[in-house]
Amino acid sequence: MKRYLDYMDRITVPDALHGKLTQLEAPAKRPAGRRYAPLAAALALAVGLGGVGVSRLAGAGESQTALGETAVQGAQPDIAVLESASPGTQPPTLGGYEVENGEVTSYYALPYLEYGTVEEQADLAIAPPAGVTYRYLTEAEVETLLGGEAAIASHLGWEGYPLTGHAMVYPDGRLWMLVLSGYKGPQDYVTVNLALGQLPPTCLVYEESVVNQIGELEVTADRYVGENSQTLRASFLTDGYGYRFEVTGTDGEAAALLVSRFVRYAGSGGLNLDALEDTLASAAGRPADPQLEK
Amino acid sequence: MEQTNRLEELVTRYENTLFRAALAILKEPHEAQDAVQDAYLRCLEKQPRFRDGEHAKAWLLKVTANGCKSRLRAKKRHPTVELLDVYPAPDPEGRELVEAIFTLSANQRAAVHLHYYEGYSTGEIAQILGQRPGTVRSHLSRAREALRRYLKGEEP
Repeated sequence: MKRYLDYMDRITVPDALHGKLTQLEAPAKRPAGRRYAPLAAALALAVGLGGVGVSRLAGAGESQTALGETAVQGAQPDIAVLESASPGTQPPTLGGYEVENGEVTSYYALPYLEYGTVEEQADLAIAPPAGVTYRYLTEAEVETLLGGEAAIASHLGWEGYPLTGHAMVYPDGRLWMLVLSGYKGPQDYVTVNLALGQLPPTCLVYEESVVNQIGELEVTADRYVGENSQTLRASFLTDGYGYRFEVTGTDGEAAALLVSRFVRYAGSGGLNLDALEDTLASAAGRPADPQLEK
Repeated sequence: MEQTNRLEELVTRYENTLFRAALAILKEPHEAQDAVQDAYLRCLEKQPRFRDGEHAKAWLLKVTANGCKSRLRAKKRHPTVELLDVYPAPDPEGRELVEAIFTLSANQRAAVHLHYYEGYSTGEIAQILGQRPGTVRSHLSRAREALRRYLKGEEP
C-alpha cells in the first residue's frame, strides 16, 4: 500500500479551494417561526424526518444529533421552531413518540398522511423476471437490515412481530427485490418491499392513491377497508432505494401510526442497508427456500 | 473573529485530509472539492464542540463521508474527470495500484483509504462511515481479495 500512501500524500487542496474554505460563512438562519415557511410540509420534515430526534435535556439547551456531536445551545432544537411558529402554519402530524437513550430523551414527530380509499383490492402475486431466484433470510439478518432490535421496537413499533424475509436476486447476484415482514396473523402483519433505484415492482397501481409531499419525500398512500381488517400502503423513493410498506390490521388508527413510523424512519435513513451487500452474499450460499419458489 | 480563527485552523489542519478521503470515495476532483466545502459549511452551521484534534478530524471525516454518500446517490453529478489525469501517479506501478483501488466499490474504497492511509481501526472506521464493524471488516477483506486478483497475486 505504500504506493497508494505516496500517491495520496502528493495530493493537496487546490489554492482556489483553500481560499474558498477560509472565507466560508455560516449559513444564514431564517427567523424562528418562518424557518420552514411557506410550506407547512417542510416543517413536518424538520420535525419529523430530519433524521434526528429533538432531544430534551433537563436544564440544558443542547441536543444530540445523529452524528453524536453536541450542538451549541441556541443553534437548535427544532422544538423552539415549533413553539414560535404562528398558529395555523404548523403542518398536521400524527403525534409522535419518545425514545430514551441514557440521559437523553428524543422526541420524534410523525408525519400525517392522507390515504386514498381503494374500493376493491385484488390479491395478485408478482411474477419476477426470468432467472430471478429466492433466498430466504434469517430472522437475525432481517433484524439487522431493519436497524436492530431496539430500533424495531422503539422506532418502527414492530415489537412482538416475528420477523421473516427473503431476497429475490438475478443470476449475477444483483437484487431484484427485498421483502422484510413481521407477521402475527392473516389480519395483523407488516411488510416492506425494497428495490434499488426504483419503486418495488407491483402489478397494481391504484388510481385512488394520494400523493403526500412530506418535505422532500413524495409518499403515495392508499387504504383498503375490508370486512374485518384494513390494509394501508405507502410507497416512496429516497436515498437510492424504493420502498413499499404495507400494514394490515384490525385497528385502522394503529395501522396508520405504523405507516407514519415507517415513513419517518426509512425516510431518514433508519434501515441498515449497508448490511445489504453482506446479507445477500451470505444468502447466496444458502439453499433456495422451496416454499418461496412455489 | 473567534469563529473565523477556528474555521481557519480547522481548514489548515484538515482540508487535505478531507479532500483525499473525498477523492478516494468519489474519484472525481470537482465533486470532492464540493464535498469538502459542504463539510466545512456543516461545521460552521452546527458549531460542534470537539474534545481534541482527533475528535475534530473524525467528525469532519464523518460529515465528508456522508456527503460523498449522498453525492454518489444523486441523480445529477458533475461530468466525470479522470482522477489520474488530474493527479497522475509518479510511476507505472503506482498508477496500476491506484487504478486497481479505483475499481473497488465506494464502500471498499472508503474502508481502504481510512484504514491504510489514515490508519483507523475497523471500529473507528465503522463510526466514521456509520456502518457495523463487521461490515467494515468485510469491505476490507473483499477489497484485499479484489486487489490481489487485479494485481495478479502481488501484495498491495
